[in-house]
Amino acid sequence: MEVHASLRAEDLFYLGPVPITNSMLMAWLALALLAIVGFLAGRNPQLVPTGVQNVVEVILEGLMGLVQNTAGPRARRVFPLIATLFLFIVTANYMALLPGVGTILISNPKAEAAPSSAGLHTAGVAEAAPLEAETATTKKAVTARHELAMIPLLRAANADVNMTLGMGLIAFLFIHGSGIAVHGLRGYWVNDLANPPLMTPIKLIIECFVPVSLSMRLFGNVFGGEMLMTVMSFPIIAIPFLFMELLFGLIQAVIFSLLTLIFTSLASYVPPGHGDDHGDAHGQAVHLAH
Amino acid sequence: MFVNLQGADPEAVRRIAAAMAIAFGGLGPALGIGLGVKAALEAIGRNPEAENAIRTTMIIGIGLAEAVAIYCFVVALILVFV
Repeated sequence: MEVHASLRAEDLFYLGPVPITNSMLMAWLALALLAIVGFLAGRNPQLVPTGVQNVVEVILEGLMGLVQNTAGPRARRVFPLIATLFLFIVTANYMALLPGVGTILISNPKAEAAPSSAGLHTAGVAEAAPLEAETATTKKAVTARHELAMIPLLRAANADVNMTLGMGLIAFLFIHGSGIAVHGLRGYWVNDLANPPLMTPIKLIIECFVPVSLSMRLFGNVFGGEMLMTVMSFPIIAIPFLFMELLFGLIQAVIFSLLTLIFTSLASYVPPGHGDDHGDAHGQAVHLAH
Repeated sequence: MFVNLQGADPEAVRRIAAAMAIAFGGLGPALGIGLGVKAALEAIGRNPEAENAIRTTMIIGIGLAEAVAIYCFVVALILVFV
């Protein structure tokens, strides 16, 4: 059985110099869905919520409880980003399970440009020609191997490393931005990063690894789930794997947002009772910010 | 003792390496997740009231341990597809 899968999200068209991939298209659809639900929920806000507003409030209150458990006094400041990450990842993961994602194929706009791969009319990976080619230039053989004739129109939004890495970078900037905002640039360096001075290189490496681990965890789970669904696409056998996809989609969203929250709380940690005047100024700053 | 890979087809070696990557990479996380769930179950048994907090922490711990398996999985994917 040929498995049609590509690690890179396939380009659909170009907006100027920027390629738009099928994962990006799916991310825009998830964004549109979230925007529509948000608009419907906040259109006529009632004191006693009903309908869409009620559902959205239930979800957001649940998230706020989770955030307040970890973040404590800073919960309201970090909640927008954490909740956005969670809602977007959950929506993107669940929309990837809808029928049509990965199965609706369009013709690859790049296949017309490369005449050597125009002969690939199957949706599988052609291996005969490159293997006979010079093995010294396996890289050329590999790139020729992946110009498929038909590509899926939609693909899970988080199955693109660019998507997850982008979110990981946002989380990274947020974590260190929070630390610098609370402690000041010099304070953050002296108190957190260079605290035992010999640990600084190790801590820097760990901090740089955090966005990589966040993004690779999400990408691996979603892409692996997609490949699993492709392989297990038989009528009744697919059902337990769909349930597994539902579970893992939710778990990965929780883990991504909660880990960002935990790292932010660690970076912006102020020991309680640090100093009375320091505490007052901090509290005032927080109140003024609202 | 060591397999002689001289003159072997790089595609074949790639596939074998991918299989080995995910096979060995799955051992550690499986053990780690098992131990984590065991600790969580014992904690719930001792203190059934804290079940929610324990379950949430367990899920986070499982996610972190599983990430290591996912890293090996991504390496295997890179070997096969890139």
